[in-house]
Amino acid sequence: MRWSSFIKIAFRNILLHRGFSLVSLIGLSFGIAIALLVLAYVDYETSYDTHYPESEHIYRLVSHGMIGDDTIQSALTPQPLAQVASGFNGVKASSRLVPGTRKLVKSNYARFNEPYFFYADNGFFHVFEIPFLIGNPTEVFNDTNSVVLSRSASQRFFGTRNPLGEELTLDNGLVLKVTGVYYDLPENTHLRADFIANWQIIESRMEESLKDEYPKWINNWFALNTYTYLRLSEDVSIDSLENYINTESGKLSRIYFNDFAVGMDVDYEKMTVRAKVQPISDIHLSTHLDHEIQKGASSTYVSVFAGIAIFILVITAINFMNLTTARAARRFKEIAIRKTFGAGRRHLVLQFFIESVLFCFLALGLALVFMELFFGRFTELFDISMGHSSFINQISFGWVLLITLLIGVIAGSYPSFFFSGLRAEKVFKGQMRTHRWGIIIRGILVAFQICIAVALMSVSMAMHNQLNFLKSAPVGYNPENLIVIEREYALGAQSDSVKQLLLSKDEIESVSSVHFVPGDETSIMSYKNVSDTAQVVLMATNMVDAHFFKTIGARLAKGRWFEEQDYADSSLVVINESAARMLGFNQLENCKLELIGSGLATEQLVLNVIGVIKDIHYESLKNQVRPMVFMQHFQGARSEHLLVKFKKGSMEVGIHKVEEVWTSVLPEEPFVYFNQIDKLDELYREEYRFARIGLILAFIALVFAILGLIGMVSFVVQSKSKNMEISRMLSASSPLILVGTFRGVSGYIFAGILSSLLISPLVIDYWLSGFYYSFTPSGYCLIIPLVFMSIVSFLTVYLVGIRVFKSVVKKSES
Amino acid sequence: MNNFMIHTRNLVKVYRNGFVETPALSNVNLDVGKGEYVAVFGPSGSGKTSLFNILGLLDNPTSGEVFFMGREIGSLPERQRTRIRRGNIGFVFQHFNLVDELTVQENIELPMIYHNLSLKERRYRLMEAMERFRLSHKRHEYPRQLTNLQQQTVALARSVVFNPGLLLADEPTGDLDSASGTEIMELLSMVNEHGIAVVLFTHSLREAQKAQRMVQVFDGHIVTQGSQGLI
Repeated sequence: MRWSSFIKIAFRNILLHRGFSLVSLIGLSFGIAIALLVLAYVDYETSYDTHYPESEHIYRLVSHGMIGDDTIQSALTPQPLAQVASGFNGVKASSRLVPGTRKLVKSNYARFNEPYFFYADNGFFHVFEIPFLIGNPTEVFNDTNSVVLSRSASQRFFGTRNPLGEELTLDNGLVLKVTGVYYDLPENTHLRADFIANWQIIESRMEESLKDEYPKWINNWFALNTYTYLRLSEDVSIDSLENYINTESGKLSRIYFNDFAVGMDVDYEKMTVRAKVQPISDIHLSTHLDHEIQKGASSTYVSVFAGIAIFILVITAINFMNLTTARAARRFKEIAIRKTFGAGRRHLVLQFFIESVLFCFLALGLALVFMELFFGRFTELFDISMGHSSFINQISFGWVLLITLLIGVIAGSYPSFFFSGLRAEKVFKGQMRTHRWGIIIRGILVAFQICIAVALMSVSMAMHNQLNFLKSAPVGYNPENLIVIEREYALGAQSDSVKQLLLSKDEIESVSSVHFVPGDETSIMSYKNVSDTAQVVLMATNMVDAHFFKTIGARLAKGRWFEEQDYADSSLVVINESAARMLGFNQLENCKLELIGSGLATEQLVLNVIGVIKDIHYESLKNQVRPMVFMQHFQGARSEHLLVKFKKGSMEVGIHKVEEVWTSVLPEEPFVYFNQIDKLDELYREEYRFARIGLILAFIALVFAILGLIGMVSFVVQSKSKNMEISRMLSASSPLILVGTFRGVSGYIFAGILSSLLISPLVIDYWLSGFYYSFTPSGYCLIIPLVFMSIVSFLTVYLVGIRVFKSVVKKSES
Repeated sequence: MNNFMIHTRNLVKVYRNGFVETPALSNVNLDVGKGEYVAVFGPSGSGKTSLFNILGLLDNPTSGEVFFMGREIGSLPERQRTRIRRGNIGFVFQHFNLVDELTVQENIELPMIYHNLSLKERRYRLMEAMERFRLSHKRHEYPRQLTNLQQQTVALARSVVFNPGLLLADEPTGDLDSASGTEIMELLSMVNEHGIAVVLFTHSLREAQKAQRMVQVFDGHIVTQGSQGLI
């Protein structure tokens, strides 16, 4: 009975005070919606790779070590490492995995460029117990040329047909037979695989091509080229496992080194690579190694998001509490009546908690409708993928209900204990007075909210300025009017004739073959400075043709570029300024490098440096430019990309003509290209995303600050209504009454704004410290949000104040 | 003492505001018998409301003793006073003090939701009260839809619905015209006839004369008390 009475009165209160209830409801549902969205995102990010059965027992081996003076931290391991690890008691299964490069895959029914293609050995489906739709995971790799695919890949290539026994042809000539189909992996895995082919194919092909050198390849301890995964028993000590692997692999690598480094003046101690064991659930957030299959997310950003979600929830609850108690006077009489007729304090506490929780659940309903309708738009705005198009499917309702209940309890706590402590006889006498600390607490809260809003606006402005700076900063080449065509190797022997054909077009300025374009993760190789045999260095390595530097618009610092006639001499290389600086190559006379560690060269490869180019930013400006070696693209080598530089203003027409040429030469091959400027933007995707989120959060903080101000203004008017009435009777003008009433409020507004001046520069500096190259923040980043917030705050105070004041006047007149 | 509904001895109430002390009641000795109809009358500021609050267990005296149904309650904490008040004392106020968000029926029912009464019992008492005060046709209306007389009638019905031993009425006709005031006074008499002790607090001698016994207060003192003829 009591409960129904409380619920009834809660609903009636909402309906009777529609305007105020609507403001509270919108504020609350807005806060809940945003917080839930952020929490769902945090949950999505933190649950990466946890969907595999017994995922807590799945680990990955990674490499940490030194090559010369350079530290190496790579997700890749030497190929023989899995074999060594499987010798440890407690390793239930091990698996090697290598990604195939982007492949054109053909079936009898369809053809697609497939980026998620991997080769794995038999142990893979013992480590990852992926559920199969068709086929038996223990038997799918019985045949050397077998491949299993995800359900979506099967649908892409075979539609509704049974894919078992069907053939897939790769662009490297391999013909694979489908032996199984597994359910699609969720999106939040670091291992997004649509095709997993049998590892034995690689081995047999390498054996075929390397012949006598094959044992050297298969036992190479210094080439990091394989991802290694383990499934462990429950009681395995990770330290013991690491010790075992490193002891055993140390022995084998020493044997290999002695064999491989014969005649080379290289110190083994300077070429040590040690394995570390890493839980797969740590891959996405906790480690940021070179050569990750998929770029991980920043755990700092995710923690910041989690903090923001909690912050939003607390502020939402407090704001709601503020708005509830701001107009407490209208509840005083009811409380006094209830107390008079026997309501105990616990009855009233319960009543206000019920009201608060009920209101929160109403707001939750509204928030869910809101999120379901705008989920897609939000994920787009936040640039996040959560694997579902529906918010409802994304969230755990247990958590949502708990969170809502928590907000209700937090929001209901103050009214419950404050209201239930009222003395009936004082209320009937009209002796209820607002405590001074009620205003002070609200004031501090408003100041805090304003401070956060201004700080977020400032930081957001700084972020956008930094991104503009990055966009306009010189990157050592000219990305404009430059497109990159993928799979240049498909042209094969026709490559040169196609280039000539393209160059004959009026719109095209230059054409070039290149392995890695700026924005790609390049190969890292170890080199020795021939004039200083003790200096072993790691350098990014690229393969380009003679036209690359001109096509990309690089600038020469010393020496010369490659020329057409240099093709015959594969020992010639060009390096960048960072490499020259590191190697101490001030002059180009007798600057020689020795490539080490390939393990395949039958003789040492000594390289002559013929030129030094100004640094090109292959990575984002967050990082310092890596030392880089440009080798010549030798005959027969596979080239990944074809660069085409258009004349100014001719790009649109030019692309069409390039496509015509491509399709005329390769009618069966898809023409896939991207604009290099887009690739450059891709480098800052995370920063763009964060800047966008910063802007959204600034807006949210602004809304909360306004709601806080509304609550405070209502509270102040209520507490000073008597003074206002007296002032009015003494013929004071309305503006004068408002100024007198809200003088204190403006103090809190200024306190909030001014304290943001202390916080904003610190946050901006912290964020910019993550960039190697950054802009110098100007005062505008601080002043503009400050002025904007001042205007919004005082406008809110004036508009709400005048409205509430009028209602007070009306009431006193009636 | 057990025959008294309420009994006070040397009751003193002093309000303190900072360093300022304002005496409201001085050495008040008052007895209200079970089923008695007593009128406490006096001008504004005489101490009627202070006495009302103490007799209604809404406030504690500064000193002196208050016995409610034989039990000393003057120094009890609020929680215990609430428990005693619940089900034993009904209240009628000058400004009706109905809950605006509740209907007539719900307002009358309000005191019973804090009792452990069965639903059947609550329903029965509710129906009975609404019939007795002729409010059945207004049961679903809100206070704002009623006349002042109707509102005070609802307040009266609410105060006796749980059949208390004592009804305290503080200027119950203060917001009513004279005809409505007369009706309310008649209803108070009717309540008293049902065995409920009524203490009427009023500034009107004419209204006080309706009671069996009158107590005149002035400046916090009881100056006279007795039957109509005596005063």
